[in-house]
Amino acid sequence: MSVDLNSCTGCGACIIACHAENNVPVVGKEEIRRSRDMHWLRIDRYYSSDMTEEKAHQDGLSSIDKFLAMEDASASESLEVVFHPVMCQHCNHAPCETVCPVAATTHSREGLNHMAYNRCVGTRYCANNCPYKVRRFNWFNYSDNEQFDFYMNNDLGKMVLNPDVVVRSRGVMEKCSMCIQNIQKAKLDAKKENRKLNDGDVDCACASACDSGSMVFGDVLDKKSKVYAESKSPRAYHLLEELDTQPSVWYQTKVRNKE
Amino acid sequence: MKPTRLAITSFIYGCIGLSLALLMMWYMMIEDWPMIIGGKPNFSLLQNLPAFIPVTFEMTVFFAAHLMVLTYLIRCKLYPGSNQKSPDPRTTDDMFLMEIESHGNDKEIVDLLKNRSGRS
Amino acid sequence: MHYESPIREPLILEDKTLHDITEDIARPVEGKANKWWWALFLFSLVAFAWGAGCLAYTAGTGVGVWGLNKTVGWAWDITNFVWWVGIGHAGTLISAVLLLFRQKWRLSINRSAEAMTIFAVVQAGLFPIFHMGRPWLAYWVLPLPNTYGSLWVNFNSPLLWDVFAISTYLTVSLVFWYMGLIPDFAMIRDRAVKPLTKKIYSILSFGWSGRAKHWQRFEELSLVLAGLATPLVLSVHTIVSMDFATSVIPGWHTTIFPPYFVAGAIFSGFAMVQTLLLVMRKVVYMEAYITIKHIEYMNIVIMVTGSIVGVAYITELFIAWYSGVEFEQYAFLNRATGPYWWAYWAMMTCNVFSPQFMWSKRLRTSIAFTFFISIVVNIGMWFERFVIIVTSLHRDYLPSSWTMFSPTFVDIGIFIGTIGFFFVLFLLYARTFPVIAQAELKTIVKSSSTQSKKLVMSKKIIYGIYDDDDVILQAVKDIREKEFISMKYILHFQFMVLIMHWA
Repeated sequence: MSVDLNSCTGCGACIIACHAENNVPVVGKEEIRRSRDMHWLRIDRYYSSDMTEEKAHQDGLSSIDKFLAMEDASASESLEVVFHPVMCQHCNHAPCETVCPVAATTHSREGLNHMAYNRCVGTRYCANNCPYKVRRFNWFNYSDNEQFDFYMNNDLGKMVLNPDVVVRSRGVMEKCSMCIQNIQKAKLDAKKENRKLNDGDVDCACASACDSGSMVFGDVLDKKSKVYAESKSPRAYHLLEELDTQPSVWYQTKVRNKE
Repeated sequence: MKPTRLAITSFIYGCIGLSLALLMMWYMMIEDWPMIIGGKPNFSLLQNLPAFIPVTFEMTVFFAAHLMVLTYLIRCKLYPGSNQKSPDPRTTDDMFLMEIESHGNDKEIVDLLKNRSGRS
Repeated sequence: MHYESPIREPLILEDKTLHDITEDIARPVEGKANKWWWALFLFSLVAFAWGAGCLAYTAGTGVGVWGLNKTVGWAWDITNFVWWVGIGHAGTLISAVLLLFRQKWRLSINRSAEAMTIFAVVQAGLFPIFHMGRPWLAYWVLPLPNTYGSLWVNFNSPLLWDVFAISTYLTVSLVFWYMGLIPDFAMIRDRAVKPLTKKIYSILSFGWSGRAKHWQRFEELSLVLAGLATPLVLSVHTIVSMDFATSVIPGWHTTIFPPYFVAGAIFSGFAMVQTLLLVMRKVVYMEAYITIKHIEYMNIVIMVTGSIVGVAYITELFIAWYSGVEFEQYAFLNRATGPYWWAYWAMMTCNVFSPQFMWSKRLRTSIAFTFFISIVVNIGMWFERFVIIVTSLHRDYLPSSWTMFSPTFVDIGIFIGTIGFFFVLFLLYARTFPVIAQAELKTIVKSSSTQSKKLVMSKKIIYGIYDDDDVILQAVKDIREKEFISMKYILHFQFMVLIMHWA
């Protein structure tokens, strides 16, 4: 997958699409206040500030004061913002996979980071060791619980759930699967028609919901695919590349036309 | 008294534990169901060996310690409900006890002991 | 026979004879508990019940009842786990490492220290099970095939190494402890007058008869077990530290962790031994055996390991700066000046500053001061694990995920519950087990007691069978050269049995 930060407007349609597609529970105010949101995909915002290394040097600021000033975006006169959608990066050297004692999260040959919900015992070690913090834990039985009376705990709500995606139970880790149900469907369809998968056969819920087209999904090994071209773009970078987790998600850095 | 060979058995048990641990991890992770985990070389025992060292060590100690203790208990015939007991209850307090097997020469030994110099 | 200089301070005071030791150690077992014991026991039992209730609530409702969130996936649970495991380390260190170094002062404290080890590891073991989202599936971490096919466990995971390390450590410590207990249970059995007591201690003592061959094997067993337990105890906390050291989180990903954790474990463990023994020596009248000298030795260990931990803290700060990794630098800046600064400075004060008082001979031989410092050190070591776990996690790489952690009443309840459980076990132990390894302690009466400087005593109870006439005659000659108060001989089948009481 490739995400273009130039065209992302931060509208949040991808988050809603992801919730709807993957039966991600809505957890309500109380849980959000405790930082227990279940979003498999989130949009980080980065605000600019006037403080730079050079300016701090000129003003003779101490490093602590410099960092504090850098974090204070409101002091800036021309506020700039970058929207940064973050989902599971499907790292090829995934820190989460190594630490699971029961091998509940492993890598597929297609480069996906799999999460076997029914194998998970819930040590949360994977979430701790994820530098991107994209793994979400089912703290309670959100799907069948009177305390979380949103849509999943009644018959009518359950009819809206996606039948292709499992509803996770309590005590299990979950995360973005790159809509593996769509990938499997496309693969089977192609097999029935006795052909290879074409670029554009599969799309993730987030990518198809994105109206600015900033999200591109595809097979990066297919040299003709759009995502391959994006991955070779001079703007392409990996999130926290210095950790050498070798993610499968590329970001296209934001370019501004200004002096 | 002949020296006990308990330490040697422990070494052998340790070797068994070490081999079993390596065999187990080779079978479970390399042979039976290899998986791609964090990009690690899970298809070769030698290359993935560093990750297997802690468990190998623990199992070596586990086998060496527990099987040696079992050997000790069996050789000494110690078990819950054993009918053995101290030949004299005072031996566990402050007494010294020595058993001397006599071959019909009881009197000789008694005389020897009685004739010792000093008090009796 | 080991020679010991008469100037060296004695380890057994008040002119105790072998029989006095038997009497003193059997007294708490044979006597009745006083009201202080009952008060403490009931208090611990209530705390334990409260913790058990909180655990049941967690298992029934979900880990969500704890204060954790999406960023801080471990907090009090793993803090408590590491804290309890660390406390356990002193027991093995005293009984195994000091045995290898032939430190005789271990003899009057090793039994209780090992008991503490086992009870602490039991507490520690609760947390990895109950911190799981689905604790009823905890057995999946064992190397068993999956129900649906051959999906095994992941031997790359430090948590799985923990499973092997903790279970090996718990069982080996238990067996080491029990093997030492057998001759002492036999002592209580041989003194017991009530049939039920006699029966129970007969079973517990496994029919120990004290044969010379058995003692020989016992010594070999103890030595080899000590040799095995020494690397084991170092490996356990090394592996616990690898839970953090092998991760990618700044503040966790540190190669200094194994030695630093082991030093910290010994540090906190000795502090807990001090806390327990200072009370115990008073309550069950063991002042003659657990002397000021013992307390002083332990305080020196606390001072040394506390200083090692202090060096580790400073090294971490230096490496964070020297590495040039901005995440690492921020992690340590955040520890010292961030929202959890109070935890960091509590840790620094309790662990690095407070043990330095032990340089003063007057302070390290003061019982009240030692007790105070032992509590302070345990608080400090709890904060060390909290600082490492929570402050590293709550602000890691991407600021969008930064959160705070605050415990709920369930977090606190479970922690208090484990303290209660620990004391319940220890108090029961103090009333039913021989709290000092008396059979082994008796071996140093000759060399290291106050009265030993004057008297010569038998080294050990020896029970031998001789079948060769020449050997018998030689043995008898040897015996005649020594002095004994009384001698009795019994004809027992074809054996001549001698019972002698050495002066």
